[in-house]
Amino acid sequence: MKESEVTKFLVSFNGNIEYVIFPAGIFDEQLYIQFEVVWGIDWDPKSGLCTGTSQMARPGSDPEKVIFNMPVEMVLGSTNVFGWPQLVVTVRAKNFFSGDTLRGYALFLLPPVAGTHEMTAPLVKPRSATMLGEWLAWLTGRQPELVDPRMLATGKENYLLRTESYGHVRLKMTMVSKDLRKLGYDNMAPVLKM
Amino acid sequence: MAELHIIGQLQSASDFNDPNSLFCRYSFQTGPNWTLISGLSEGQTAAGKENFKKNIDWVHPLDLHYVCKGIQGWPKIILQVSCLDSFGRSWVVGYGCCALPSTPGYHTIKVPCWVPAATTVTERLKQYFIGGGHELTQTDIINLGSDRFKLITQSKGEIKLNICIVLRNLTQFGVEYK
Repeated sequence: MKESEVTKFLVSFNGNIEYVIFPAGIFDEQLYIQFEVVWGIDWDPKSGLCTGTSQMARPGSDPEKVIFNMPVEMVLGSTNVFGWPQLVVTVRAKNFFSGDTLRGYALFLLPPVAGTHEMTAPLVKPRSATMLGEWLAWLTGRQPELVDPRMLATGKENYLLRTESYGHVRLKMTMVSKDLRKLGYDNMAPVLKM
Repeated sequence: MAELHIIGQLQSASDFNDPNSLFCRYSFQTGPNWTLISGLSEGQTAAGKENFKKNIDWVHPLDLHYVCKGIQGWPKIILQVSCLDSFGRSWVVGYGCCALPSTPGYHTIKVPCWVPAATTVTERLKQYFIGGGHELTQTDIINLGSDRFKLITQSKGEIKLNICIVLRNLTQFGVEYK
C-alpha cells in the first residue's frame, strides 16, 4: 500500500479494570461490574469484546477494596480522532434481601496517548428527583438506575440528572496505535530535556 | 488544514462550600479562524451532591474537533457553576475561564472561580437567610480583561478538567508548539 493511500489508523487497547474502592467499607455480600466500550460514528471495531460482565467478588483483607482484575481488550480502526472510545463501567451489588442493586457508574476515556496509563474514576449514582423517592430507595434498598448507562458517554442528556458520588474504580490500560503519525496526528507530550 | 481535538472530561469541583447540589454550564469560545466540525461546544453537567471529601464529581465527557486557518483565537473554555437547592431554585455560584493548552498530551487544568459579591449588609443578610446570588448581565467580562475594575467579587472554589489535546498538521504550516 502506498504511503499516500493511508486514510485509516488503528488503535489497540489492552488492560484491565483492577479494583473498586468504597472508602467507608463494603457492606454488600457480592459486587460485580459490567463494562461497555462506546465509540463515535467514524470508528469501527476490529476485534475484542465491547461489553462484559465480571465475576461476583467479595472484599478480602482490605475491607474497602474489591478486586476484579477484569480484562478489557479491543482493537478499533477509524478515520477520525473524534469519537475516541470511552469505557462505561457499572458497579452493582447482589444481596440476599435487597437483590440486585446499583452502586454506581464510572466513565473512563481510553488513553489517546500511547503507553500504559493508570486511571481512577469516581463512581456516580443518580439520585431520586423527590424526597419521597429518596426515602423509598433507602427503605426498599432499590436505587434509581439509568436505563442506558451509555448516555453518560455522550453527555447530551446529563443536565437532566441529579447525582451523588461515592467510591472509585481503578483501570490500567495500554494503548498502541498504528498510522496515527502518518496521518499527521500529534498526541505526544513534549519531552523535557534536562 | 490544521486540526485540533479536545478529548477529556469535566471532572469535578472542589472547595465551593455549598450544601446544595452544583452543576456547571460550559462553553468553548474561539476566534474567527476556528471552525467547530464535530462535538458540542456548549453543555451542562448533571447536578451533583458533595461527597465526603467535599468534592462534587461530574464526570462529564468533552469531545470537540476544530479546524483552524490561523492560531489567533485559540479555544478557551468558559465555565459557569450554579447551585440547585431542594426547592428547585438555582443561582450562579461561580464564573471561571481558562485558555486551553497548546501542547499535545494529557493536561489536568484547575480553574479557580469567582462570583460577584454581595456588597451591602442587607444583601448579605438576604443571601444568608433566603439564598440567591448575584449574576452577571454581560457575560463578556468572564473572558475579557477590560472593564473589570468596577466589579467586586468573592472567591469561590476550583473546577478540575482532565483533557487530552491531539493536534494535526500544525507543523506543516510552520507552527511551533513543542
